[in-house]
Amino acid sequence: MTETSYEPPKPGDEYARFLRDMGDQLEQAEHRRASQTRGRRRIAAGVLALGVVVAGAVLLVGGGGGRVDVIAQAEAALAPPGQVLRIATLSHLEMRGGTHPEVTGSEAESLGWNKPRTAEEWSASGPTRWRIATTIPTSTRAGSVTAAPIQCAYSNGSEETYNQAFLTNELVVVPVTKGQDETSEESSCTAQVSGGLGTDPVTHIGSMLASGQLHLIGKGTVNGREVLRLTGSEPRPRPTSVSSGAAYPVEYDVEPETYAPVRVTVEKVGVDALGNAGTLTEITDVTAYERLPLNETTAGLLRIETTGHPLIRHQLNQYEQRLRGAGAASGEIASRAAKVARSAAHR
Amino acid sequence: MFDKGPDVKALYSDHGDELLRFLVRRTGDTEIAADLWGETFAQALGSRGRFRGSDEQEVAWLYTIARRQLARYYRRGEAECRAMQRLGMERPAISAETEAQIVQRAGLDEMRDAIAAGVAMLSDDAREAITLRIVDELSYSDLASRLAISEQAARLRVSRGMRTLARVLDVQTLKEAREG
Repeated sequence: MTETSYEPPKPGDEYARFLRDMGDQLEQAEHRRASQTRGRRRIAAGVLALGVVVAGAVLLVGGGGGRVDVIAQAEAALAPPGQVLRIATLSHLEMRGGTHPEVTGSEAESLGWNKPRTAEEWSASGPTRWRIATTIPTSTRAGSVTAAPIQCAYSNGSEETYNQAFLTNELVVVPVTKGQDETSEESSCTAQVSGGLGTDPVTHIGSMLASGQLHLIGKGTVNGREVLRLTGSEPRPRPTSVSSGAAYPVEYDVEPETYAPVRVTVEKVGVDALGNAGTLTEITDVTAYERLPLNETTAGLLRIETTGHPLIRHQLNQYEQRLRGAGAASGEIASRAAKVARSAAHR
Repeated sequence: MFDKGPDVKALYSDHGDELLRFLVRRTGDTEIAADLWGETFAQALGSRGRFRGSDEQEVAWLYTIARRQLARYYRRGEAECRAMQRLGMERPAISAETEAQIVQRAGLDEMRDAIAAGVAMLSDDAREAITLRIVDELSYSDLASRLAISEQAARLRVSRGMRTLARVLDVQTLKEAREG
């Protein structure tokens, strides 16, 4: 089972063309990224200049778009070392423009689409740590759907997922590249379970504004709070079970001073609306956004505490990955490789 | 150059082919491997400004990203394309001829044969139990009913078979490590 000896692809063959096409894609992406970065720098420089003239937040509104001093405000809204940022959200789905606004039907029920979902997230920097506690719709053996508690956490280079859906609590430890996948919005776990706000929504909003992905369209009120409304589109590859990864129209309603999110609305255009002609829309209200002092008590909020049933700890080490991959290569059991490997690796 | 960090294009030129074979051998699926491959380079492009290693560590850094993608794929059952979308990248389609070349270059057929041989090495009982459990996704209670044995015996049978397979696969891991 040795690997086939390596020979460079022959110029002109299909595979060489495939490699070259991918290289071209990479080069074009690099150019686009370079121009985006230059654009952000120009905005930052412009904001700095304006900051001399206008104290405080700089806001230029006009023509349906806007430029914001995103950098200063984002930095101001971050939880500095010594603090814990707490965000609580309540999300629900509805049909915009449909025959009825509610998401109904047995299929919606089986997917958990008809139930609001809460999430609570705590994060701290220096070093980066975070934890999210929420629920995910889970089918029971009896066939009904229940909201199962799940937690995700990151610290010290590892991400953990704690699912209390069944009789056994499982703690899956996944190595995370330091500085690369530390934020919860990069986490595959949290993207599935939260409203998609991430640990650092203000910076995220700021970068989207700076890159032109979001535009200020005006002011309004949400739940009695004055907000700025920012609209744009955003790739949503991993939120819950309703998305295919496309870029969807988004609305961020944010506090005018801090740009902290108050409500985030994502229109899942193109997602099967279960017989309803409307657009499946996820609305996430931020019910709490606060900074807590970092101390022994609040530090505990950043860690997963398991209770009750026996704990199984899985370490997704290289051996297990190799085993899974090898299992996947088997024609006979390819589609069940992950289960094969998980079973074998834990012997 | 618009920001600091590794020259991802150069990494692609030097290691793109090799990394694709690496991913094909670990997924057994050229389409998924190509998605993970494209996403790896897109993530490398997007995060290279945060790279703090030396020149010698650039390749290891690239493979770390790839392994991370693999881990996510194993966990979630699908490849992620978030970074590619963010950068407006579209992974080239794989023609039938290209796929055949990728399979040949990755030695996928030989690898499949070896694993099939590993499965064939199992006892009839273990092979049947593993097939029912892994391929047909039977629960242990259903598996026990099908084989007319206790649930505990069913678990034991699958467990023993998986240990045998694990040893076969581990030999391959060691072999690759030596050759690498």
